[in-house]
Amino acid sequence: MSELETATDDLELIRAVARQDRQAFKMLYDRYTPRIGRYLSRLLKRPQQVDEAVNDTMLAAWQNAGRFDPSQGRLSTWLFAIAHHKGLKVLRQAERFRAETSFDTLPSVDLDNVEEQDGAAQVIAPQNPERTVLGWELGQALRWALDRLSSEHRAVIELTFGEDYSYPEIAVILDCPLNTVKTRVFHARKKLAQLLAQCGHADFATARE
Amino acid sequence: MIASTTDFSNAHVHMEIEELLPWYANETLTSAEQRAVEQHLEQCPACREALQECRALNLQVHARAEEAWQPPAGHFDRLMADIDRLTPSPTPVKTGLTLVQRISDWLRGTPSPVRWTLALESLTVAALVLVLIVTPAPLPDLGYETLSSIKAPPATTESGLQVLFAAPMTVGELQALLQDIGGQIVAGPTSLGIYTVAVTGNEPPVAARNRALATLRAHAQVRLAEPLQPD
Repeated sequence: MSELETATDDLELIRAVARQDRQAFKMLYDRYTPRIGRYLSRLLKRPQQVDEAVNDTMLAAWQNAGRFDPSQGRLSTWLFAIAHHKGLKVLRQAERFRAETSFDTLPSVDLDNVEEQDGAAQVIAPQNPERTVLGWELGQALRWALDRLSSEHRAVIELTFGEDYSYPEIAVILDCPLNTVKTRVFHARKKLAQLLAQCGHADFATARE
Repeated sequence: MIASTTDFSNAHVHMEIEELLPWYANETLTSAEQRAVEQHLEQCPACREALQECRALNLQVHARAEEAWQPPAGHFDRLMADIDRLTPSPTPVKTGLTLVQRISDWLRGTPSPVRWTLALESLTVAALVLVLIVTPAPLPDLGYETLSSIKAPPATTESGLQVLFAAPMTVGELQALLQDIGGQIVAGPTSLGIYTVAVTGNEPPVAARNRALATLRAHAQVRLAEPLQPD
């Protein structure tokens, strides 16, 4: 399906949802929740929180379907903006109840002591001289490093490199200025590179692989 | 990476371009931005390296996409249940129980001594009703005033109004409004929720009624106010 066809189809779908068409809503759910759930699982990490945030997102989509304005962007951007907002809400609630035990709660990670603070890091991403052959080892290290980024940084990395959104679209999703998106991705990349260097993937950080 | 840029006059441009590289890698830049990035890349080895890094990141983060989220069993049904809860159906749900069933259900949940007391009470009430029917003598004037006999309602033909109040209206607002127009509810509500209000006062009935009508129609919590008998 071409981009234009998807857009037309999306518009018909969301308009039907605005008329409270439940069949259309099921189609919308099937089309977008795998992506929305994936993004939220990167943002939140805990499966129960993800299910709750996906539920909240789709509930808001049902209630606000009539407000979707195609001149403001794609349907997926609109849904991701809702998802991001709901995800942050769940995250804040979790933090309030001190349920979040990861590094997310800390304002910044002390890079020099990351491995000492988290003994499991060595197990998850062991240094391996043969890593350059392929993605698996690097994939494990990347997952470890992404999990150690702040949720703000993790969100922009996932939206840019995982979901392929343009920076104006990310600004809509995060509800922030364009320049904030650019500098945030810049700093997130630097932090990621530092973390990867910590577990032996300095080559990835400097792109000499 | 950035440190290797030696041309300080271009430092600002370099920074702007480097910030755009992630979207050059995911191919979402406008064609003008794309051209600007390509021009800069030709002369900046640091940015060429940074672009490689962005492409690697794109590839790796995408590879994780295999772990797409799967809704847990019953997730959609729970979502629809939430939606139903938030958008109540317009018709009330019928329980399907007969009056006898409901009474017997209620009795089952009532302790035995209470049941006996209620039975005795019902018998007494039945006996009293019987006595009243058998001896229809007029009740003597007991010389005291009940709440309902403070003022006899006026004849409602000329001064009567049909009024429909809004659901969110409070008892306090209703009382204030009735006092304001000098009215009393003399009948209702009908199945449509309409009350008959009679207006009392020193004015002639029709004048009192028209004054009350204007006040009622101006009130935010009154949906409808019509004279009982058209002029």
